[in-house]
Amino acid sequence: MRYRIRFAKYGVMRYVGHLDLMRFFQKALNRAKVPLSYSKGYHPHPLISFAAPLSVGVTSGGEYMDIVTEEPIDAKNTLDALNAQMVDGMLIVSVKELSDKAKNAMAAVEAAAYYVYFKEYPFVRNDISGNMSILSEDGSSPAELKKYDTDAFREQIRTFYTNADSIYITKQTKKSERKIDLKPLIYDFHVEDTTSSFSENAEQTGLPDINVVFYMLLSTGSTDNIKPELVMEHFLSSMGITPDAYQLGIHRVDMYRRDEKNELVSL
Amino acid sequence: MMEPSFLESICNTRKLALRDDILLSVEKAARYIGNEFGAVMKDKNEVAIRYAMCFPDVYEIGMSHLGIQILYDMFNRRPDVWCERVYSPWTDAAEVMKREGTPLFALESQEPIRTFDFLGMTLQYEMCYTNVLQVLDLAQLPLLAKDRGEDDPIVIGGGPCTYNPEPLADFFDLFFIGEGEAHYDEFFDLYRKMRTENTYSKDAFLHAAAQIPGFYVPAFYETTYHADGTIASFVPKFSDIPATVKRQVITVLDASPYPTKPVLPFVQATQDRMVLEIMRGCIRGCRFCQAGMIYRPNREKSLDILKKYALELIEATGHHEISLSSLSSSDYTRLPELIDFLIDECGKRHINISLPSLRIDAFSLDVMKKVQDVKKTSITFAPEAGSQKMRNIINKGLTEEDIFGGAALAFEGGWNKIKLYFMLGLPEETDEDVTAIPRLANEIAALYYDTVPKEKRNGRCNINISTSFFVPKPFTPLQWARMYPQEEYLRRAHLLKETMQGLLNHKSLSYQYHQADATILEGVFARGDRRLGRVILTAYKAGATFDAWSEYFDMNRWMDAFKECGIDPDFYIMRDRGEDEIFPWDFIDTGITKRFLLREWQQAKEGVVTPNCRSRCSGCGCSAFESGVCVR
Repeated sequence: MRYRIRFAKYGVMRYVGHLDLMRFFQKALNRAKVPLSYSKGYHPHPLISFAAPLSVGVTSGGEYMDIVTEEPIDAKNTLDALNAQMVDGMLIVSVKELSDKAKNAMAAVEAAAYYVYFKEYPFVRNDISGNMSILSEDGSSPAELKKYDTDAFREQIRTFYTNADSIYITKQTKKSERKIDLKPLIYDFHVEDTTSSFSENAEQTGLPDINVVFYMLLSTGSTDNIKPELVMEHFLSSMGITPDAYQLGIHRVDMYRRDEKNELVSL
Repeated sequence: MMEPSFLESICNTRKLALRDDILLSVEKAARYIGNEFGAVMKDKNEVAIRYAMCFPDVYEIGMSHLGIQILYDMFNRRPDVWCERVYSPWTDAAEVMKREGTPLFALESQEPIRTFDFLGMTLQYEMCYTNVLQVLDLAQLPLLAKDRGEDDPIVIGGGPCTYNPEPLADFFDLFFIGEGEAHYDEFFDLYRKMRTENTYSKDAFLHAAAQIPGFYVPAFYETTYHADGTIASFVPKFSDIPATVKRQVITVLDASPYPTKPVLPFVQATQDRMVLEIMRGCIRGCRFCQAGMIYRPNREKSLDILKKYALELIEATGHHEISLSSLSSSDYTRLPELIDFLIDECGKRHINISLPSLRIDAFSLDVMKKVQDVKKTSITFAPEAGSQKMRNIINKGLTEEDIFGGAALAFEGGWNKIKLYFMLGLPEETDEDVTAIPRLANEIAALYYDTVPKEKRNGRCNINISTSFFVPKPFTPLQWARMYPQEEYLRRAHLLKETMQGLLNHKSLSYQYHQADATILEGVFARGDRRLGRVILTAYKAGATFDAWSEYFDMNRWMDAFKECGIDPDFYIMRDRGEDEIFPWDFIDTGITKRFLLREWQQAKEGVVTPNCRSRCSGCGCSAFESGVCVR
């Protein structure tokens, strides 16, 4: 029996790397008494696979892993049992049975959607008692970027992406350089309307007041895997901006496969 | 729980002490965020005592240590105490913290440990001493105990190095000598009482704490020295302070709680497995082994309680591997039943069993065959010395017949890799004893070619010799022994290597040896006195930290520090100690009498073997604890 588990990895869990997360899930699945199937051979390992690793520092609301079990499991019970084994910043969103012919998540993933933003300090957090408060004022505010308004970014996206025939870049690999065209691999790229989609009254909700949020839908998977930081780097440099290291915030919104009609649907 | 929105996702739901850009620029950021499954969170307003428990080395090492998990669990069972963890930030994070003035914090609350009531550090090896200073320094606390004020945490040391805490006397307010499970309730109760009754001052508290068995306040003792540098007297400065500090021992291990819901790190710990402690102490009495002496008497846990703990650990951790912990697992009386139980319970759950410290014989090989991949694992022997003469001196009850018998069985069982552990620089060691090591390995290799027919061989056999240099430790029969200059250690290692290369089966043999310079320093601190505090401080100020890591260890820096302080390291290691010399650690009453140790030292020099505790009591003095093997 195969199941697909969707989860969110957010908040402080962004600092936990992919290998560590795999080990975390292996233990959590055991604690939740999910009857995992194991590979054959002298060193059997549990049959768990992830759609696409998430870089350290990136948050996500749409992560996926597939598991194989020895016997059928109840999706709802498993969801609850697994959530009882999570920590702050980890949430199991759904557990779904996969059909026999469904490709596994890693093979099926075709695209991923991201929000990219400029990190603003101070960050906001909940303290242990659950109260929202603002962190201390250390850390520099990226004041440089504030002078760019969303309209300037919208305008530049039209030039850089929407109206461009091609976006040739040179991709460095370990052995060689490769020229690739990003244009067909970026399925969507726009500036989100922050006034409607996102909180506008930061003080009331305690959530950050984010100046500008980019949305991008990018080709993902084993053949053409495009990372949002790569797109941002070329986009911003087309405007003559070099952001400070670690200044770009990235949030993966979801990952997609293609259905029978070749349309992108959630994994 | 609701799915977090984008904005909620990018906010941290926990306060973090290190900024986002710092966390993203250092190696393994997850070392610093806490939030592990099993970490104990409390409301700081609901507790009376904040305790920071520190292992002064990097997170992965510290998280592998059972002792801290035991105390963390026990302390946190008290509703009035919140015990949190602290480790040495790795060099990259330490540098940023120092530069930016970020105070060292506890992982759970992420709050600066300088605001805590207590800072406890476990001292597992001498080479962590500069890390102790780094922890204090990063915590923004004065390094010297005498400079710390009323509002600073009380700094407590524990662990094996407290069996001679003197080199660290200047830096600690208190040491606890013995098993940490004992007397901590009394200690916390005392602190609370003095705080609530407003009778607390650091000095009054330390005076009162020194009355609790096992607690040692170094500042309350005065040392005088003879002209030759040895100790003339070591006496308490106050009449209410005891002249000797008694090691504290748990008499019934089963009665003491065990952490079956340990904290599970995200970053892979060095020991990434469940740990089942099956017993404490050792019956063997190897004369070089400090653990074998200071943890006496040998006490076993009952089979029933171990089965219960194993199942609880499996439930609570979800780990894929379990390991038995003890000084000599083969000596556990009911090992066959325990292993049968584990094979049964773990087999059906795909949990591996790891069995360190097993004596190699038919039984253990049979067990290992059941739980390991023969082709990928090696069999380990620790003869510790190459010649029978040397093995008698150190009282290592392992004969050549045992080794050859075990090796033959292993070869027949399909293993072809054997690891052999030895020590160089033991007392009375001659060149012939050194060369006996490769000769023994050569004979084991020959045995492989004799035992395993050509068609069954899986290539050449692989006999790996590994040596460390012997460091005499307090409270062992060899505590009177001298050490040797670095060149002499290296000469012996080279002699071993050259001899090996001339042997018939040299292509099947390989050899590694430990750093000799670190050995020298370890030797100085192991039997050092409180005058060494200045050297440690000087070396730390010159940049020494992570001395246990060869890439950071710099002997020249240490030699400069000795010179600057006018202290000759050779005094501590190169000298023969007289039988009536007062040692810096003599104020500790471990339960083992000095008379026994001296008798064993004599027996060592005569090559006379002492039987193990089960065969015959050798009268070490620990029967006074009326526990374990002593009352069987």
